[in-house]
Amino acid sequence: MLKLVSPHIERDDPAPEVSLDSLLERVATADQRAFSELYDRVAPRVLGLIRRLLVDHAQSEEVTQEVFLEIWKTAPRFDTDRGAAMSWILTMAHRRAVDRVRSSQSGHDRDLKIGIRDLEREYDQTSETVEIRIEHERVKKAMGQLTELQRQAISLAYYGGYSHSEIAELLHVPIGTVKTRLRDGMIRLRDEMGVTK
Amino acid sequence: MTRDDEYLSSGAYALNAMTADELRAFEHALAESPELQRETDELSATATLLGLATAPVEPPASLKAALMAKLAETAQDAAASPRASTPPSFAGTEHAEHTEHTEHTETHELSAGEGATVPENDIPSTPEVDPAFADGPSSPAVAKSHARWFTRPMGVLVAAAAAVALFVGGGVVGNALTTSPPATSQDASASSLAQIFSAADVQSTHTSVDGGGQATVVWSNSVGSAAVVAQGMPSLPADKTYEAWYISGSSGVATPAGTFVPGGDATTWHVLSGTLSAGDTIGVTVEPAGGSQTPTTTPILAVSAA
Repeated sequence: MLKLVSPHIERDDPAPEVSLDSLLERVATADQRAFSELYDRVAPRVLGLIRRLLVDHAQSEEVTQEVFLEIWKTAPRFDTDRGAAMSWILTMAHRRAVDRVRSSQSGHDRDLKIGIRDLEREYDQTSETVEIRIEHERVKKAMGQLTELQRQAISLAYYGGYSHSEIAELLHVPIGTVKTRLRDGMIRLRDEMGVTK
Repeated sequence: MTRDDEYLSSGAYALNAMTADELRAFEHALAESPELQRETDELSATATLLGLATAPVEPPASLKAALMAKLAETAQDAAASPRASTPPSFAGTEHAEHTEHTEHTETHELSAGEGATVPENDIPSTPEVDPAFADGPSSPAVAKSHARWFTRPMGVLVAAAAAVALFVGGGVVGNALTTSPPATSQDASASSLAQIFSAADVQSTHTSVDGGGQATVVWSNSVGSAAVVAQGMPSLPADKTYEAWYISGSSGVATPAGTFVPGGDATTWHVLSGTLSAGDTIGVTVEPAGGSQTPTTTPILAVSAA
């Protein structure tokens, strides 16, 4: 199981007694109450991430609903040995958002700036818990350790929803170069943030 | 793809930056290389941290309400069995998984799943059973097949029964009615019940029934519907029936809302036919078999839906 360094990484709530993993296991048994609690705990994170990619609020809510229905539907397949619930959920949310962004907008139509928008600017307008702030600072600091080119490629891919071939086209570099930047950058982030298996 | 290419793609994979075709090839490679799997898992966890770094956005309450209402109609997948190499479309495996799933259900008293002999035939026929990633989040290709979630009658019943258990507790039998109506009406009843339970303005009152038994009346003014969830109401002679009523708060006129046969000690429900208006009283009387147009006896249960 993957360990994220911060033991509180999955918790926004000041005093949640139940782990997301165990909630998800209950959801797998068609437990609507567990689903309701899971939703309350993670929906703002899911919507936050999706809206970061899609920008449009109505579409973001639609995709959020799709994601939660998929969580409900596929919860029985969740295996705690493979990864934590939050990681499973956010991966699903990101995939859905990427699917939507690629199907609704061509790469050329998308604003390059969406991908490289500064994390900081968005945060100044948001009130959030200390924990989220700490997570954010940690990521920001780790991102600061990347080369400018790595940071740009990762931001375009993760926050912009661009495929590596689209990034290659945007930046006028070969696709292998983009792959290398993404991998080297992600490995650097992993090491900076202490993500180990 | 050469081996180097695959390794080169782990970052792109973790960031969902591959195209569908590449994804297929990469996931194939993943299944064969524990080392690549490990790196990819770590980079995916790293990507999760990128996701957690975005500003949370509080969704509107309507989103949750709509979602909860859809749960009853959304069938769940069978549990993953990573060690099974047989595709779950095989009847035997399917049965085993269903059994395992039932055992893990915390609400054992929910006998809906057992009463239902309809097989858990919800597994998509697409080849998504590669054990290497059957337990992870779906790849886009898999997600596409998941997107076709279809309603399965038993899913509706089980979810409705779960909703009843949530509200009234105790042993719930998944049968909406014991009069064996056509399956479609049963499903509709379960679905209506789930709709009431998931409404934002759902209200309920628990009361004892004159003549024996307990009942929980559940209603939602926004849905315009009410249900009587009964337990321990005695069986009636063949020439009598229970009948539900909407009794207008303003005119006092009782509108028939369907006859029903409770399931004795088992918990069963009756979703009232017709429409609930604000201020109505929900009542139940004992009537001659076949039901009446106006109540002929004193209500054994009356709850005002404020």
